[in-house]
Amino acid sequence: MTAADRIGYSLGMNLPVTSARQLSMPQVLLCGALIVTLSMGIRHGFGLWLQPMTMDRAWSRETFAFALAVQSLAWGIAGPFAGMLADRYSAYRVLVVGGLLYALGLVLMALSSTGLAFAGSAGVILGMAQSGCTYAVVYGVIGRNVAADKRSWAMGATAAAGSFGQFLMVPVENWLISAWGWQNALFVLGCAALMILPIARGLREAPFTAHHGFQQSVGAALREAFANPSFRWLTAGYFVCGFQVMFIGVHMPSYLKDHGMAPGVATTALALIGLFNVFGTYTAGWLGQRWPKRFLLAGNYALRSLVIAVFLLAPLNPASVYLFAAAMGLLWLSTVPPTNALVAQIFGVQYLSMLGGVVFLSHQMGSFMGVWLGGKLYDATGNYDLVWWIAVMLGVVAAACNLPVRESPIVRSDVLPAAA
Amino acid sequence: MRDIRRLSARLLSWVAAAVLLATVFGAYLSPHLVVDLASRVWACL
Repeated sequence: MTAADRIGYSLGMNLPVTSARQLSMPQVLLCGALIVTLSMGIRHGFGLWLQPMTMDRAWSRETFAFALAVQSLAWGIAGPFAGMLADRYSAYRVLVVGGLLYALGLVLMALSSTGLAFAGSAGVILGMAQSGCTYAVVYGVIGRNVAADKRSWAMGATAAAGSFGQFLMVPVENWLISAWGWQNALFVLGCAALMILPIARGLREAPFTAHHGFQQSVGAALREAFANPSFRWLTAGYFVCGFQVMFIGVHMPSYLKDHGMAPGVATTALALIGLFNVFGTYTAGWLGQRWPKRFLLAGNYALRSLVIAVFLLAPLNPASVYLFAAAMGLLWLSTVPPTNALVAQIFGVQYLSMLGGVVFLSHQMGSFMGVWLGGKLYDATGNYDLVWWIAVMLGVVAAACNLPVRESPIVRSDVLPAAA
Repeated sequence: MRDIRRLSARLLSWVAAAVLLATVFGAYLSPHLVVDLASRVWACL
């Protein structure tokens, strides 16, 4: 049995599944980390363009916000398709197309003079670009090339790189806008996005083959996943992750302003979330290698609810904001490695990118709801109290959703047993 | 000897990561960025 076959057995697919030539783990980690650092980082500071773009173009804030909402949904909707193409044909090609779309979207975003063109470039094109060069596609390569006993850790390390990208790019993009102007800053970022292309060569896999009669179509993989209660529980839980993260990310500055906090408090809180997010995602991946992932996820969602509830009930001052930001930072994207590692563990890695994309679609729908409902209920009630408590309640529900998840590999009765 | 070298490399990489994170965190706290960022964040509300 080859090393690749051993990985195949450990994928929970009941038979050896191998790619003809495995990529080395350091290569996969380095290239994957660099790609998500760029792809997650560049988009993270888009809010910084709101003020200069709306002033220059005489747009309303709704025009800008609408394009970013479209981007989130486009990312989620295109995710399963990008993942399917990566699984079926080549993650490398999807990454290249994703990098090109990223650069094109940024250039067209800079040149957009109407709200519709802006929604098309910053919304649709950049959303599709992100689906092609973020976690789902990179995790597929990690899943196929890193042994199961290191997979969760590797996903955590890569997610930490994405978190670092988000942390790094806010001051970098702020500096770019100040020094070069908002339009040139987007051109510079477009050039940075093109760096994904050469880096993606490091994730170029040999054709993925399955032997011993194992073949599964895309439709069969999707039917199998949706028929599995654990997949549905995971997907439902991930909705809450998106809801909480986007609600807090978008509406917290407004909440702090309403409560008389100085502007510097919000920026320091932003920095603390970014810093602790790096530690949180790495640690979640590392712990996922040692503890049952369903308990990690349930614990994460339960802790989020606890942290938010304590934040709401405690007196609001800069210290409580910083403590909240640090605690939420630790829990911020730390759902990403265990969720994707669980999908790989249960269903194997043949369609990991596609199934990861499906779960992520739920995350993006939650993100949309978090942003939208936050604004809607604020307008209706005059404060954020109700949405905060909805976020607490959803965290408890998500914790409960993850507890019944069965982590054991799915048993495929129609597959011939492997000949060791 | 090989273990010591491996341990040193691991330690060095952790120190490098810590320095990098501290540098970026320091960038957030620089007065210029705080004012600049705060005005942009606050302008979005």
